[in-house]
Amino acid sequence: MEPLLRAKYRYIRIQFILIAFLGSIIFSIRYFSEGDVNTALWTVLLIALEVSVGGLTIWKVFQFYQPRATFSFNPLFILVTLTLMYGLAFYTLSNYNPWISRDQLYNIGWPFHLVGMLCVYWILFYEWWFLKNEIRNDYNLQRLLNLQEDLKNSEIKNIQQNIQPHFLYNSLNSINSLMLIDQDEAQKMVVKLSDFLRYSVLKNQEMFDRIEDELQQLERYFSIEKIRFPSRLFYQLECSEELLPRKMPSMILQPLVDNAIKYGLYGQIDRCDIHIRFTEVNETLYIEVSNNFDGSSEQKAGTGYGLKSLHQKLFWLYGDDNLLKTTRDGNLFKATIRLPQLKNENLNY
Amino acid sequence: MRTLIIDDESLSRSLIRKFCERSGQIEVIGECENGFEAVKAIDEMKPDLIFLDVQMPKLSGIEVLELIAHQPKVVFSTAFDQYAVEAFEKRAIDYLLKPYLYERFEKAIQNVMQTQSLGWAEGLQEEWHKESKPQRLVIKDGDKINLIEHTEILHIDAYDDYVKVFTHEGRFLKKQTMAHLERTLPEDQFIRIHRSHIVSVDKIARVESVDKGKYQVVMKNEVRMPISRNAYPSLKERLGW
Repeated sequence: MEPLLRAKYRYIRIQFILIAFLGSIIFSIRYFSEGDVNTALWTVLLIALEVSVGGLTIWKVFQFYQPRATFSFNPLFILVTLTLMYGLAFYTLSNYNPWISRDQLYNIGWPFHLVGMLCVYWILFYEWWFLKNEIRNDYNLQRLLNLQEDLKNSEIKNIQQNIQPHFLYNSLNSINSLMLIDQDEAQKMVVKLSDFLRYSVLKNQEMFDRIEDELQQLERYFSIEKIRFPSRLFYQLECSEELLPRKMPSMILQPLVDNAIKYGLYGQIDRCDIHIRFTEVNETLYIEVSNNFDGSSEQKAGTGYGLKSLHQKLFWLYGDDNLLKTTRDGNLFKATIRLPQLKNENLNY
Repeated sequence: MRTLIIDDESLSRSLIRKFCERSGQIEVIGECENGFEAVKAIDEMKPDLIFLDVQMPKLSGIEVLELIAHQPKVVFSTAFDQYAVEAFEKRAIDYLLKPYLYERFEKAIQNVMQTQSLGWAEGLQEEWHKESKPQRLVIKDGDKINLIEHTEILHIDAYDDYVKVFTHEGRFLKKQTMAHLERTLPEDQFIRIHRSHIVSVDKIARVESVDKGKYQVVMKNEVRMPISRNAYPSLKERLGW
């Protein structure tokens, strides 16, 4: 059974036991002090009614209230209000009901009413301190399980992303055409594609790559795509000499490039210009991927898995959630990644 | 057989051209690299056959079919558009899955030559609409092709063989049946209130009673349309009273 449900059932069972226990104590005290079964029974019944009504009211009010770690005056305020309402209800009931006389009701004695109220508040106390912790633990457990599931899926997706079936597929299709049209080009493409795949598989195992190698891979990718769209795709990879040997995290550019191609090339019928630029400002590396797109359509930074894993990776590596920025200016879309460069040799930067 | 080759990749077009030459039966009269060019070329040149790529930028191959007046025979080609493939299979239509060899190409040509009917038009579009759930209508207005998002549509009226689509920008005529639209437009956005009227649920301002048992819809732009007796209960249910 689900741990949360188990906790709830346990809670309910304990409540029943304690209430039965309390009930019998009240009954015994009353019986032995008054010597009358009826009075004793009435007392227990009335206390039970008080506790039930009070408990139900509080449950209804607090049902969706999330216990906070810090102290808050809100529940206290609600409790005071409830007490006053309860007092008023009791007063009205005792004076204006046709079933029990006022004296009989009052005869129960204020200590027992007090006990009734304390039971109600105790229910709340329990809810707050113990159940809160239980639930939190159970949620933590659930989150851990979800995380593990996520990680497993992401490993699989990672591999899929690396192989990039669509790209592979399109390239093979182009090679098929080229074999009848221009055999030299077909051969070149076969070689280019296998280089691309080889590097893809290799970099899957590394966290960081040299910028120079990433650029080479991008060059292969784009030149293969350009064979499919020679008059529509134009690209420019810009990076200064000194940045080439530096390291950058692997697999972070591909989702942005895919996105640029999706909107810039597939999403419009005009010419597509994609510009990738590496710059360094104040020991921070900036990578800019920009493309033109159809202004009337909505280009986003990219939905789905690629972007999520990009964010996660950046956050994991640099502890910053704000390293990816996108801007839209007319029909120019620009995605910028910011990578703080630490000058620590050991960290492989 | 006079043929047009429609594909956004120039390599694919060259390959098909080569295959056509090899077959000896097909005369290539032109090439188009996007849907807009294709619609124009098909209506102007009236080819007997077209090779139609399904995935093209902005206007898909199947949307091109919706917009042409002249109806040639079609050999579809697709890479991996799952919606197209499913639609084709449901309609038992042949398609070329890229990459393909000459033998496969030849077989497709023979299939096409042997069939008399086109068979693909209305049924295929409906199937494709059901599978891919596009968010827009494509309508031709003279030489201009309009891509109208479903959210822009106020209501649609029947108009003989056509339908009149009303948006804030104006009204557009499309050669389509009300029944087809009723079947393919998303149920949560549109409802058919009458034999001649389909309305966008979001654009309804209120429903008024006109006479005993007769009701009408009042749109946010004050346009009024009658609700048929049959449609009234389901409209009530949709609007939630």
